[in-house]
Amino acid sequence: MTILRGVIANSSQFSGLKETWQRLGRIDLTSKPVIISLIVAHTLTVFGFEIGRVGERPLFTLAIALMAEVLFWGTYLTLYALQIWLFRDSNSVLAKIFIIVFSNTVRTMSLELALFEFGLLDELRIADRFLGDQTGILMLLIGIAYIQVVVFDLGTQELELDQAKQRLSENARASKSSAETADKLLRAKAQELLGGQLRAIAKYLKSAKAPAAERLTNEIQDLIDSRVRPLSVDLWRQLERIEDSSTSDSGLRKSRWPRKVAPASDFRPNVIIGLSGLNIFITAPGLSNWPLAWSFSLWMLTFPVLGFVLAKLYPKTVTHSTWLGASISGILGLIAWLPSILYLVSRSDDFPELSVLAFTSSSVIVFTSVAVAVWSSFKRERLEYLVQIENLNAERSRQLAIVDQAVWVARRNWSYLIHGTVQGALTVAISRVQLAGQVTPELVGQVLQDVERARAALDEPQSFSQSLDDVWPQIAQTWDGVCAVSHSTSAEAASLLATSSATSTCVAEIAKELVSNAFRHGKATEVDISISVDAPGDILITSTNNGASVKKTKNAGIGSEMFSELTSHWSWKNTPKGPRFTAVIPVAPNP
Amino acid sequence: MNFNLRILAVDDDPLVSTLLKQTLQAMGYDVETAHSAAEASKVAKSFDPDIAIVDVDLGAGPDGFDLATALKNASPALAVVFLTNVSDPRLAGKTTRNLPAGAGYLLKSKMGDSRELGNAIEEVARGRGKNFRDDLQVSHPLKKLSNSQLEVVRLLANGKSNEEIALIRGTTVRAVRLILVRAFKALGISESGGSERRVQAALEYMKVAGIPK
Repeated sequence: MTILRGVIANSSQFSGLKETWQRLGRIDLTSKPVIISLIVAHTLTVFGFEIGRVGERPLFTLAIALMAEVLFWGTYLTLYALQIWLFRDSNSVLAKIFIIVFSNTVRTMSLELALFEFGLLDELRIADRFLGDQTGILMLLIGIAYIQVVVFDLGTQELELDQAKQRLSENARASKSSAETADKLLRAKAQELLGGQLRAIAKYLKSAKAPAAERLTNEIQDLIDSRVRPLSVDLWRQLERIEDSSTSDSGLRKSRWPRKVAPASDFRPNVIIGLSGLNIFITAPGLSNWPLAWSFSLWMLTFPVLGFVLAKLYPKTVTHSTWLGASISGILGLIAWLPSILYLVSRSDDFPELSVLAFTSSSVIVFTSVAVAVWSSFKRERLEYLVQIENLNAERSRQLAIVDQAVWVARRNWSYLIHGTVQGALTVAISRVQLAGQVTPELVGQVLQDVERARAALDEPQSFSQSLDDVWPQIAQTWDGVCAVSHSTSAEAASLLATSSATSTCVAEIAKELVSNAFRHGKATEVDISISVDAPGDILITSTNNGASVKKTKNAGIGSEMFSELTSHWSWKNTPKGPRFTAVIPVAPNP
Repeated sequence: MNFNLRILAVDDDPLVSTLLKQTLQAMGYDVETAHSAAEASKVAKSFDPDIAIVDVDLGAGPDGFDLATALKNASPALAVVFLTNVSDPRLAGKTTRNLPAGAGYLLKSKMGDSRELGNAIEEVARGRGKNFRDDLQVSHPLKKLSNSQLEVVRLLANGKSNEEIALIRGTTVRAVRLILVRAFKALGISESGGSERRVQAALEYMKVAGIPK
């Protein structure tokens, strides 16, 4: 047993068995499913096997079977209590197998002895039926363990589903919170940065007695304080929509049970005959002889063949509730088992007890077919959950990546507006004053013009979006003679990028950074960038260069930080031809 | 023959570059302007400048560091002066290693001081740019921060959560928290500030560095 356990534990081929073995250890022998399953199995064997093979005085046989059942449960519960009391370990697989096998042996022996003592049997058949009884009861336990494994996994999956929902909500909230912070800080910075310059200019214009001075500076202050916002109204709506959809259950389907299944795919003839065949084959020699058991095993081979045909014939598009699906699976099992039943019945003239085996083996096949269907149903539910979680995560990640893109572009635009246009105009105004040294009407006019430009830029902020067509020549021209930049954009990618100015801007930024990084860090002299469509709605950027290999540095730096922010995912790989970069960018359609 | 120093002034803001051109011409230099890195590269080929005065932020397209690197590579004798609102290259996500050797670094507030600007140009042209490095002299609270603290505060000002910062830097959230605590201390932000400490640190960053892009 130690060797078997070692093989199961160490071989990846036995991962399913290993899981079942571990699950067997966690079966609660006093749980309702186990107790009810054992009672049902015993009742079925009493009515289908014991009473059938004795043939006379069925009520007396039933009373003896009841007595054996009492002994079984007495032994079972005592051994279970001893296990807990002595070893304080309720998870030992071997202990559980021992409890089941020993209690069942007590039941079998007491039943056989009582039937023999009271003259209901001509001879004792304890050894003949021992293996069949024990494999049967272990098979039942394995069946319960299998179902418990998938039920447990399903429970875990539901928990993961809840956690995934929670994570998505948190991500959406974090995105919104980041955007709010960015908005607040950007405005605070603009107020702080421009306030000093505005005050200096206002002071100068006041001293120069320029009539429009106060109005202009006040207007600018008002624009910065309350009217011009770094993040657009559309962006806020988008963020709120994501937050709302993350907190609602709309995107996720909760577990429903029993669920719809197609019995054809749940009916697995090879698995069924593999699980139940051993028990049936071992029972046969006790009720007949070994030659017949072997010839019967050949008939058993008709089961997978016929079962396969039946499963193929069953329309896969028709689905039923789990219980109806399991029933159909049981019926298919019974039909596929029919040739074996007919064989057993045909040989019952020589061995009368084979007609009993025909009944019990059918029960075993039906039970196994139903158990496999239920197990399969739970497993499919679990897989569907997994797909659901993955799809949902992918979709929400995409949405958040799109929002991150938009926030990034908004922040950049704001920076250009404040640092570039507005601050530039005010810096020029102050510099004019400093350079001139004395107040002249011409100078006052120029300063007023500068301030007016700053006001106009704030009043109607320009869009700083850039198209790839504009950026490629700029990149190539800047690095001309230093690093040759080649590029290609597929027609599909170009038309997709035409739908989104934000994504187009982001792709341009990434292209710019790729060339710069390739030269700075790898001294590359050739960089090639190609842009194509990955999955529908996603742009794929691939870049190769002939520079030095990329070292994995702990500190990611601004480039990789930008890549993380703007892309769904990105990676560097060193190839024999040089470093290769790939990134996928979700396309954010224009609002 | 004209032996004046030839200066290429690069700023994406036409107002700034025009004023700069006027100022420099008044000081006796030959000046050409460009408004983007691409245009500057093109002009440099025909104008063959002695000095390039470059803004760090050049709008869409390659930035001032990209341009300076490309220009120096094409013409190693070229002197470079950065004229910018970004008081420390580290705040733009770069390091001093991104500055070409001998480059000067002036803040735009110096634009109105023609004497200071003239001195800087003359000295940098003679390879003495280290005497005109406002990025090294400017005193601001962020100077007290180590590179890693500055990097974390920059990400903070970028609206990143601790989890995101940890992910970007490839460290643990705990490490980010510890760096932030030390950064708050170095910036003189009160320990009892709670979440406001993050906002204060981000504001300190923006006061010096501007809006992170």
